[in-house]
Amino acid sequence: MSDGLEKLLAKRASAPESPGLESRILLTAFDESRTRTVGALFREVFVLPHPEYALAASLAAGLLIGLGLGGDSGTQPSDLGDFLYVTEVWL
Amino acid sequence: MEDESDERLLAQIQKRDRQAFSVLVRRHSQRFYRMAWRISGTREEAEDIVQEAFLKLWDRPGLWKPGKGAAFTTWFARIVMNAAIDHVRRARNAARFSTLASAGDEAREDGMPQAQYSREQAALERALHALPLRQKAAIDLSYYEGLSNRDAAAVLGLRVKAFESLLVRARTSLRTHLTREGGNV
Repeated sequence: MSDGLEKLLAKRASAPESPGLESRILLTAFDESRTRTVGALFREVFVLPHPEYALAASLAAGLLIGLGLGGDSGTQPSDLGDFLYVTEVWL
Repeated sequence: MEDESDERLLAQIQKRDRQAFSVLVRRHSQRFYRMAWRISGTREEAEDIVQEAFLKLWDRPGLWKPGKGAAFTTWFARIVMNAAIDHVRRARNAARFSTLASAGDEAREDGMPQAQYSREQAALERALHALPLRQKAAIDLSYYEGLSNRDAAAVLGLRVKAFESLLVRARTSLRTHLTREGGNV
């Protein structure tokens, strides 16, 4: 390749600054609500403020899972674990 | 912790150590942002690409497999470069190009008359924009990231010979395009 192209490439405009990018990445990464599981949300909404609802809901969820009705609904293992955890806590 | 190697930090990140992740982000985010910018052409997209790549690492730190030979920076460059290429493939359009072509106006550093400098830089940006994305990536990794052919090939998932061929094709395409525009390269 000739020197002309080398020089042209070397003088190419550099990227503009991105101040605050690190903070933005870290704030987003550590925002726990971003990755909150369905089960964690369930605990937060029902178990802490309304424990009486949690018992009924967790038993109903356990029953549904036991009957296999939730098998193809996209339920994730971690969510199942959270439901079972709630049931276990109450029983 | 600031002095720890990338690999040590990654071992800590796999234990959900926030401080280790913070050090890694501060150490490398600007470098990978610049890489993403050179492919995508806009600041906002480059920031999004780098953020998504780091979030992927934080959410799934097991993606990094130590002892497989590649340095963290080579492995992560591959993630960022693939994300940038995918992004541009989805969203390439004339508006983005105009942003890139105007970037040269802000970067004049030598004694060259502004008009001539801008004309040459704009021609270069047009030539780079016209390249197939993997050729553009090869130029970026070789000229701006300063990677060896071996590492650049690893980033693009190619054998060294295949990368060298890609780089030759990229240079030839650039020269052809610039010559067609009347440049003396």
